[in-house]
Amino acid sequence: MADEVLVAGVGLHPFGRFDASYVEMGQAATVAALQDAGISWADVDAAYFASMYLPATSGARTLKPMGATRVPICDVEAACASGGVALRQAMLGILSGSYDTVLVLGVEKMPRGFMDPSMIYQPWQIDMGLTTNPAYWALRARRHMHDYGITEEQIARVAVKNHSNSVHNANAMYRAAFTVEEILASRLVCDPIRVLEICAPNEGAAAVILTRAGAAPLSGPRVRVAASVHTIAGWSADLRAPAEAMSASGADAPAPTAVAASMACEQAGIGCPEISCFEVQDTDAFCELECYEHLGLCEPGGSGAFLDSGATQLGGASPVNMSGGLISKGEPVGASHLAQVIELVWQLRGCAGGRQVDRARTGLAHVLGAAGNCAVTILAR
Amino acid sequence: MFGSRCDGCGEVMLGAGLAWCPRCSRAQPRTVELSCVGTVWSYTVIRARPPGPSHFGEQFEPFVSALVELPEKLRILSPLAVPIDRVAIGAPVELQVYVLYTDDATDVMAFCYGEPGGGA
Repeated sequence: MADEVLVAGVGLHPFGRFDASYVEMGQAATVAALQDAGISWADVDAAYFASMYLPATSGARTLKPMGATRVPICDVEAACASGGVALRQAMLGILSGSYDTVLVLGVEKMPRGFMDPSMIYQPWQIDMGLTTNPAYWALRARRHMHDYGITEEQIARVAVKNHSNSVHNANAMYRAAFTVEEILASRLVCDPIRVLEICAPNEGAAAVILTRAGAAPLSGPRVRVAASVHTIAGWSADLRAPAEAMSASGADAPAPTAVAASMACEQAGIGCPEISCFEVQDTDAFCELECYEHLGLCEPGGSGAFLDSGATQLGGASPVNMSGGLISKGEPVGASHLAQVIELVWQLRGCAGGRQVDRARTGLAHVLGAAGNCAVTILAR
Repeated sequence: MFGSRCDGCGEVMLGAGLAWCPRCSRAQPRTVELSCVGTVWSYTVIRARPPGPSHFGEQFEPFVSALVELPEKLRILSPLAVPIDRVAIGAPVELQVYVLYTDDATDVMAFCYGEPGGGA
């Protein structure tokens, strides 16, 4: 890689439900990131705006009022991976030599409840009532339990861990610890997945400013984007909205998380087990177990035992979802990956407070969603 | 139920009239009739009314949703007309077709799978 791309600054609008408009939330995150970087909006050469549920030109509507500087502002959508894809565009823009400093902003303002099916399903699937998104996760979980003996209690223990981490995160929507009994007593949404084991679509904004190394003096510790990858799942390599079927012949196809993580690790020149900490797509608690396996942190089928070993807790060898994960923060789709990246930046700067990973040098952020969109970003000090 | 079989890689997909095989990109897979029987590969229970304008009545009752594996190595996502306490991975099921709703005197049909010999 000819040039290094550094994180110049980050800014987060908390995740939750707010009276503020998406424009106000996006501007608040942007102002915080500009302050963190010690630059002004006029210093930004381009902006990529990630969202899934906002109207056309939301990026320009949010950023142009801060100064009509004529820079390109481009809206990016890739379902739950939108933020990772926007970040990758910024990275490519810098590496191409087109820009020195690029803003990546993710914003979302989603209503309560299940996601609007008209955005992700075909009309006949809506007619037949096949629009409950968590059903996909539940079907994978049930089959995994059948094949490998993962238990409902192990799935619940992922939720216990992430909710417990969220207590230290003022930006999370839910900040309460639960016992495994409380998780298992919560209402079933799609068996075996329960309401305290899934993330809520919500609102929030996250801004990350990337810059070419040497383009501007940086104040804080040097955090580098070591890898940025986006892939879409291969044929039947993944079961996710809006799939109406899958092939048994896809059984050996590598999962999109495995593909993206492998490409990212190659870019970064590091193996997943050596990475200090992880923020992964826990749209439901089972998804996180699946991630351990697809990231190669444990053997296929070994995720329950890996969790039980304590490896993924704070203080373990491979802490996962120190922020509390999407289960605690909620999932404002366009902002979720960039908030993962911000969590890793704080971890690498050593300013993550009560959820700080000791001597964090590297971090991996992972998102995966509709159509098998998967993005992985690796940061390094 | 109809599917499409690719002459190149042999893959069978749900639905007729596909322009390409999504597995290998070869054009115009052949339309084939799918088996009416299969087995439950995985299942879940939809506990709350699904979002969107579907055709459930006033009283929503939880139902089983499953991936049904056909002998063609195709797994179809489908409602299952099987009581929640009787569903299991590996259980044999059979295609059922029913009237989902009537639009201007035209019956709109939908599919599900049920216990063999269970009828619609």
